[in-house]
Amino acid sequence: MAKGRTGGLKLVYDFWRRHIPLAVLLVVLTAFASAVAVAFPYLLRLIIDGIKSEITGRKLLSYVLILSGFGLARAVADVLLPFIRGRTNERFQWEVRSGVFSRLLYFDYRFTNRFPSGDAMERLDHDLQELSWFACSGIFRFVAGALLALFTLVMLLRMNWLLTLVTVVPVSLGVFGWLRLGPKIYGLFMRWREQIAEINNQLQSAFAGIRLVKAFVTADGMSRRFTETLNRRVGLAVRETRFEARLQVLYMAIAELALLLVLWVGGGLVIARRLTLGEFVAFNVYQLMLLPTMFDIGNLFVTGRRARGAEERIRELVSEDFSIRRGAAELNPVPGEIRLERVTFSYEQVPVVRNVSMVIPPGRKIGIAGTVGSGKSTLLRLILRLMEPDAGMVKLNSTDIRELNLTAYRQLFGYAPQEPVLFSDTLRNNILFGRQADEARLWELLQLVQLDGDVREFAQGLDEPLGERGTGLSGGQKARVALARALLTQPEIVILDDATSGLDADTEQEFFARLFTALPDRTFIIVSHRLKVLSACDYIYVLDRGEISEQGTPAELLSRSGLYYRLYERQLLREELEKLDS
Amino acid sequence: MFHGEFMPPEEEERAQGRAIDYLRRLWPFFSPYLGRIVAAGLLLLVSSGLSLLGPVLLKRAIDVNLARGDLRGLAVTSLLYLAVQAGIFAATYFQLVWLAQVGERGAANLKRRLFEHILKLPMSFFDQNPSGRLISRVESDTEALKMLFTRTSVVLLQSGLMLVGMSVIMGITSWRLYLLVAMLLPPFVLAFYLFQKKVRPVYLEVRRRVADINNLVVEALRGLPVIQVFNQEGNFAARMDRLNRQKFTGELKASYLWYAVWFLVDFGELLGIGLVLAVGGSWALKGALTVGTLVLFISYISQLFAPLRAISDQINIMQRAFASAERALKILDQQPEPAGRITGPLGFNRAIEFERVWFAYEGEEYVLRDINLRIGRGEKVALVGETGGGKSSLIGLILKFYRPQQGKILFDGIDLQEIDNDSLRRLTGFVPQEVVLFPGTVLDNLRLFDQAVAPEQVIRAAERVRIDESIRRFAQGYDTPVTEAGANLSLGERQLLAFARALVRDPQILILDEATSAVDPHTEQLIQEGLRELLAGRTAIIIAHRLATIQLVDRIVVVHKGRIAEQGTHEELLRKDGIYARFFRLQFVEQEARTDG
Repeated sequence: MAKGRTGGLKLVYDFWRRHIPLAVLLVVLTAFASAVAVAFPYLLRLIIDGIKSEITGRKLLSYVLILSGFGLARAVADVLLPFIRGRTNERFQWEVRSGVFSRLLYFDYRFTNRFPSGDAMERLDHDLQELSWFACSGIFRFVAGALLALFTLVMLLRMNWLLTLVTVVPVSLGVFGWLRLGPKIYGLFMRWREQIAEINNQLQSAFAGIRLVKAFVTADGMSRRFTETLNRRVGLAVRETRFEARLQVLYMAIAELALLLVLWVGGGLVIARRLTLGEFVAFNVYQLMLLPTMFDIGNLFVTGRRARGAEERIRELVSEDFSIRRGAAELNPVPGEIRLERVTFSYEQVPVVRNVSMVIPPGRKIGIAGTVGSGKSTLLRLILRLMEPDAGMVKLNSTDIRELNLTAYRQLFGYAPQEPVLFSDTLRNNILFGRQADEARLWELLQLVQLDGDVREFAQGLDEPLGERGTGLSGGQKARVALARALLTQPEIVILDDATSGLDADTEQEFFARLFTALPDRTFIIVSHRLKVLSACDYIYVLDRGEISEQGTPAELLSRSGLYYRLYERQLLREELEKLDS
Repeated sequence: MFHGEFMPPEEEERAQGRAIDYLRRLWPFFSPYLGRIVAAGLLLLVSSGLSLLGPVLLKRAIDVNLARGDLRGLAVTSLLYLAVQAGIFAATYFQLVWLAQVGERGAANLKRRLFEHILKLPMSFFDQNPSGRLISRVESDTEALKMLFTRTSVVLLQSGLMLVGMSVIMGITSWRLYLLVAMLLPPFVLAFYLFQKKVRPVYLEVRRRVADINNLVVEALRGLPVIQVFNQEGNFAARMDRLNRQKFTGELKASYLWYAVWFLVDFGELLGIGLVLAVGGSWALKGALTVGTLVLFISYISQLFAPLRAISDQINIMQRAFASAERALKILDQQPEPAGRITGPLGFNRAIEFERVWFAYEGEEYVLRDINLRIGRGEKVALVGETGGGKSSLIGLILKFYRPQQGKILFDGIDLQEIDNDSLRRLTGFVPQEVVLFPGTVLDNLRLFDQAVAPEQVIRAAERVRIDESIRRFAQGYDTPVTEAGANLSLGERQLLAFARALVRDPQILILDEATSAVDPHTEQLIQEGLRELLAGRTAIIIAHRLATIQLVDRIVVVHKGRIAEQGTHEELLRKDGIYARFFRLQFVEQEARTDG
């Protein structure tokens, strides 16, 4: 994003810097539209004065034609300008949303911890919509209003100064009034929003806590309370309406008073023959044109304040750079050995991974065991460089991975996380995930993860849409899709973070057997709670509270009575319980 | 404010039933304000009528006063005009305020009714409907209906009146000129109609794209690590760009249509004014028409198209409002929990008995199978077993959240289904696994909004489980809002709060689903003391996760795979070396080690 202003409304400022020709076009068009609008009553005046002085029919016709021409130009401008403004609002929204989003995509856990996804969504939706209206319409409606007022003033002054004064005073009153009262409306609006939030909170807690509501027979109390809140809201809403209605009437009064003044003073001038009838009508029309600009001129400041708030909320998303530095060094083409050297990582001052050193030689199957919360997933994320260690380093073939080209480095891996992540897209695209593969390869994969049978039953097979507006998959099916995605490219190193726990024990074992046959020379890093899976590994690291408490081959570990053995015992107990029928 | 879960927008935007039926059903919520509604309608009539007079007076000023040079006459006309305007202001003001009152109160009535009804619906309803969806039923749908009453009806009435009124006045002033103007109208009405038909799917498309964009943001941020590992950042950025472009083109398409209509209106106005000036002007030159009449026609023409457009705009809004009405009314059609016929203050004297009880949440997937269990008065029973084994379902049945498909649950020998839900539940105290706090003060939360409970009673309960001191630490004590208090209370203290809440009611039967989270030894101590206080002299059914709790009870019931596998005391069951013995080693031995260390 362009450097420049750092203060308020930077996003708007940057947008216009990128679109200077558009800004020029808008200014010119706005000026033109205002000029044409101002010329219209002037022509009307010529016609009416012409009729009064009994001009020829031919002359009248030519006047009418000219008037129609101007009217047409005005109509075109009236349509074209709001259209361009609206289009630009949308364009702004598009550019800012795409721009911010594409930066977020590179951010790590620090961002997602700070901004819940729903919050970020709200900011990129409602806040951005509010800002985008201001970005073009807010600004250029002000420009149009101001120019129109200026031009009108000039035309009026040329006709009659007294009537000009009479015309301008009420409109100025309107502008200043709006500047004072507009913020008050905003204040009422904010209180209104708070009320809605309170009602939503009450609803949310009552529905989410329905068991308690029922068990404590407290529905009456809850609805009494809800009614109180509703009554407060009704009171507030009525007060707000009263205020707005008063404002509306006030503005109608200003408008009517202004028209009446023109009618009265102007009429007097016409009778005194100091003003022609045509001029009188022209004043009337000018007055009508001026009145709506009261809001457009004052509004810049009222909506500007809101836009500034919205802009800050959007910019806050990218105010801090949470992305991971991308190294440049190219990768050595030989199969890699990964080495962790005294790696430490803390989250909110709590150490999650402590002083971990391990070696993952190419072509080996490495198992990682440990209790829940012992830091296994974090360790894998450190290897994948989704996060940076606080101390120590991860090396690939003795190069610090921070030096390596991040894209190339990550291409080494296939990864399936603990919770399968699926996107609202077709099954095919969820597996392909931006990569290429032919139909045969996909079916081979489906067979490997034992999803082929299910897919044949989908109405659209591989093209079945998943998620939000598509098919909901079961937990086990989701896990299989995630596995297929991880294995599609037969990556150098396969990382499975307890990714098979959604499968039943027999399926899981069969899967691993097939997997190891299909990819005999690949490196595997497998986190699992199931001992059968771990015992198929070549070497196992056992984590306890972030530290490696034991390591060795499965057989070695079983022969010691350490943590691994205890985990093993618990696993046996669990299996026993599973098998026992009461 | 955002509530966690992302909700896709509802697709059905067109109601299935008939509008008149919905209106008939919604009317009772608004009917208490019939007087106001009628008055507002009359005022609307008055203000519309009066606002038609403006151009008439302008004509009078030009043709009568100005033509004769009658300055006094002009003053009279001006004063008349002033009076008319004052009338419009007054009428507008009261009409706006009264209708807002009616709309707000009516919507509030509907909201309250929906809320009360939803709270009475059976638990299975809540299992199927996430709370986000229910919130939009109570909140958004009723707001849409409010707009129907306060806005749409006004616009339709006002626009209709204006159209008719203007036509009448123009017709009276110069019917020949009016016929000329009236010829313009039919093509425009047709154009508006066609516009509505065309723009509807475009708007729907745009709304879908917005939903897709929001969905993509949420999905991408949740799946960020996967996107990054697979180097898909660029592809997702492109996907967002594509959706943004689609939204952009959709909006453009809508605005093409929109501005085409706008242009048409401007053009129509222009055509009208041109016609009036050219034809009327030539008549005026011949003296067949006054200049004032011309001005009157010009003023009306510029007001003529706005009501037409307003009416067609409201059609979309109306359709959506009726879809909202349908969704809200569907909720009111749901049957509330069946209540038993035995009501009144009950006592618990003998036992709760399960006799061959089978239960499934759905179809034939039984989570409880052939349960036989007797819990005598004063007995304390721990339910133990793996998650998903059926423990929670069991207490759900006792609290009548669900009813069994087969078998009977007897309460002092009476079938539980015969007993009124509320009467039964008043005997019980329930402490769920997660501490639920409702917006309100600490006091509100302890007595759960029951004004009949004296604050002293609440304080006594808090003292007994030793949470009183923690509450008094807050500057506002028991009147502290829980949003504030919750953040300042530890996990253990929150647990004690839930204990105090149950204790306030002095329940005969206590049902406790123990929290699973590990706590430090000090908190553990506090909780155990609180628990002992809570259990004293009561019948208790506890889903136990803590060793210390197991040691408090008289009997342990092992629930395994939907069946009661074993029963007995801790020692008996350990000796038996069956499921409990294994489960104990799996779940509690680690705990023992931890608390000892």
